[in-house]
Amino acid sequence: MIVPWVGLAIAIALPFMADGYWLYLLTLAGAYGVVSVGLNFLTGLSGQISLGHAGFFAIGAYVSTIAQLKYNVPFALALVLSIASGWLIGLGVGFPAVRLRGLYLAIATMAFGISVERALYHFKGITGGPYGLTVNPPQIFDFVFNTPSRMYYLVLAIVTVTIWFVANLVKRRPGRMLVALRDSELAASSLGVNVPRLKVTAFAVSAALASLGGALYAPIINFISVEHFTLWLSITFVSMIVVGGLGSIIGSFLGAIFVVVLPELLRGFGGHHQLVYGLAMILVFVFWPTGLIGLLQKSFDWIASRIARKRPPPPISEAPHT
Amino acid sequence: MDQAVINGLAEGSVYALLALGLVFINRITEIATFAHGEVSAMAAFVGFTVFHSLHAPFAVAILASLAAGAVIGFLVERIVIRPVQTSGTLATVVVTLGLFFVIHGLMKLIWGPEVRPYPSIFGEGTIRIGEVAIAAQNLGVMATAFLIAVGLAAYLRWTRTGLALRAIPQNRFGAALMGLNLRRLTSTAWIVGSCVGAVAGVLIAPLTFLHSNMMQAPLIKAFAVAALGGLNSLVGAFVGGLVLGVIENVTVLYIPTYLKDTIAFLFILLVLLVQPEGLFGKQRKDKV
Repeated sequence: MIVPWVGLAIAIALPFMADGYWLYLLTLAGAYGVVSVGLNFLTGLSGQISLGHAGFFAIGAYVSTIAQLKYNVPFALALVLSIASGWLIGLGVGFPAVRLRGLYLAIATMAFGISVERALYHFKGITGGPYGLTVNPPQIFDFVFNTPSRMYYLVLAIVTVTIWFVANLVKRRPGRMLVALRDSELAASSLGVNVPRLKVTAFAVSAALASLGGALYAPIINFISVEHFTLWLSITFVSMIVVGGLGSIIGSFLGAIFVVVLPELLRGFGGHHQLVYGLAMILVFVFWPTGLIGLLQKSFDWIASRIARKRPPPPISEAPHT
Repeated sequence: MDQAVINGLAEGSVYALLALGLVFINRITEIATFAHGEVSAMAAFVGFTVFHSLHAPFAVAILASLAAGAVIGFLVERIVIRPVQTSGTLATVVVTLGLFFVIHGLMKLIWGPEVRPYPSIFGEGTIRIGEVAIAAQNLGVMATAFLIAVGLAAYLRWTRTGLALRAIPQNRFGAALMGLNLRRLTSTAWIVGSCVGAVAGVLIAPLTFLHSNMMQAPLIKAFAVAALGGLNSLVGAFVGGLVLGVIENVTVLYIPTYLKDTIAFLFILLVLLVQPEGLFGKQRKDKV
C-alpha cells in the first residue's frame, strides 16, 4: 500500500523539477487520467466496452466552458455541472446499454460518440463548431490558475480526490459486485445482484468521470473545438486503460501518461504515434496482459526482494524436529 | 423523392459492401474486426501503386488489390488474431482496434495524407431510368454487393469448405474432434473476408477518392448495418445497408444534412433496443 503515497509525494514534488512544458503535459495526462480511471472502472471491472467516451469528455468540456463563458458560473460550480451532466447523460445512454452485450454495446456507444460530435457541429451558435471556443483560466474566489504549476496542482488535487473516490468504490460492495458481474452475469444475478441497475450505475459513474476529465482538459489547453472529440479519441482512451493495465487505478494514470508523452518522444517520427499506440495495444494484449502496472509491480517486487535479501524459506524436510 | 430513394440505395450499397466482409469473418470466427475498413483501404492503395508506379494494366491492378487483401487477411489472422482467438470479446475488440491504428499508421507512413482520384471499373457514365438518374459506378457497387452477398451465402451453403466453416461457430471443439482443420479454416475465413474487403476498397475508392481516412465513415456505418443484421447474417447486412441508405437520404429531405449520421444512429439504437441481437441475429443462451 506504499505505492500510492510514494506516487503522491513524487507528484507534489514534480513542479520543482520539471519545466513548464513537461508540467503542462503531465497536467494534461492528469485530465486524461480521470477519464481513464472512469473507463477502467467500467471496462476493467465490469467488462463493458465503451467506444463513446470522447462524447462524455466533450460534454464535460463544453458544459463547463459554456457555463463559465456565457453565464458567468464560477469554476467550481461549472465542474459540478459538468459532472452532473455526464452522470445524467450516462444514465440515459446506460439505460439501453443494459440490454446490449459486449460487441453491440461497443457499437452503440460508438454511435453515441459520433452523434455527440455531429451535434457539436450542429449547434455551432453555442459551441463555435470547428472554430471552437477559447477557454479562460479557472478561478476559485480571487485566485486565478494562470501558470502551469498552479494548473498542475489544481488538477492534481482533483485527481487525488478521484482516485480516493474510485478506490473506495472498487474496494467496497459496488466494485465487488461489478467483478462478479464481469465473471458471470448469470451467477451474479442469481446471488441477488440487481444486474441492470448495477450496469447502468457503473456506466453513469464512468461517464461522469469522463465529463470531469473534459472539464479539466478545456482550461489546460485553453481551447476546445469539435475536431478534438472524435472516434480516435475514444479509441485512444481505450488504449490508455489497456496499456496502463486493465482494472488498475494507478495503471489508468500510467496509460494516460503514456498516451500524452509518447507523441512528444516521437516528434522525429513525424506524428505517427497512432502506429505506436496500436502496436502497444496489440503487444500488451498478446504478451503482457497486465500492462504497464504489471511491469511496475514486477520491478517493485524485484527491488523489494533485493532490499529485504529474503532468504528462501527452509525446505520442509529440514524443519527442526520438535 | 424517387431520386432520394435511388441515392439512398446507392449509398447504402457502399455500407453493405463493406459490411459483408466484416459479417463473413464474424460469422465464422465470432470476431468482429474494427480493422476491416483499413484493410480494405490498404488493398485499394496497393492496387493504386501497381497501376501508377508499375504502369500495369488496370485489370492487373485490381487483381493485385484482391491479392493484397488476401495476404493482409492471412497475416492479420496468423500474427495478431490467433493468440487472442479465444480470449473473449474485450480482447478481440481491443486487438482489432489496435490493428486499426497500426494499419492506418502504416498507410500514412507509406502513402502520406494526400487525396488521390481513383479510376472506376464501371466508367463515369450515368444511367437514366425515366425520372431518376444513377451513376454507373453506384449501380456497379449495388450489383457487386448483391452478387457477393449471394455468392458468399451460396459458398457457405453448398460447398464442402462452406459446410466446414459453418460448423466452427456451432461447436469449435466438436468440429476439431471431427477432423476439421480449425487453423486452416479460420485462416480461410479471414482471407475470404479480407478479399471481399479489398473488393469494397477498389469499388468505393472512386466514389470517395483514395486517402488514408476514406474508410472510416463507411466502416462505422457498415458496423451499424452489420449490427442491424445481428453481425452474422449476410443477407441481413445487404438489406440493412440498403434500408439505412434509403432512410438517411429520405430523411435528409426534411431535416438538415449534418443530422444525417445522427438519425442513422438513433435508428440503429432503436433497433438494438427492440432486438438486442439484431433483426436477423440468433439469440444466444448462457450457461453458468
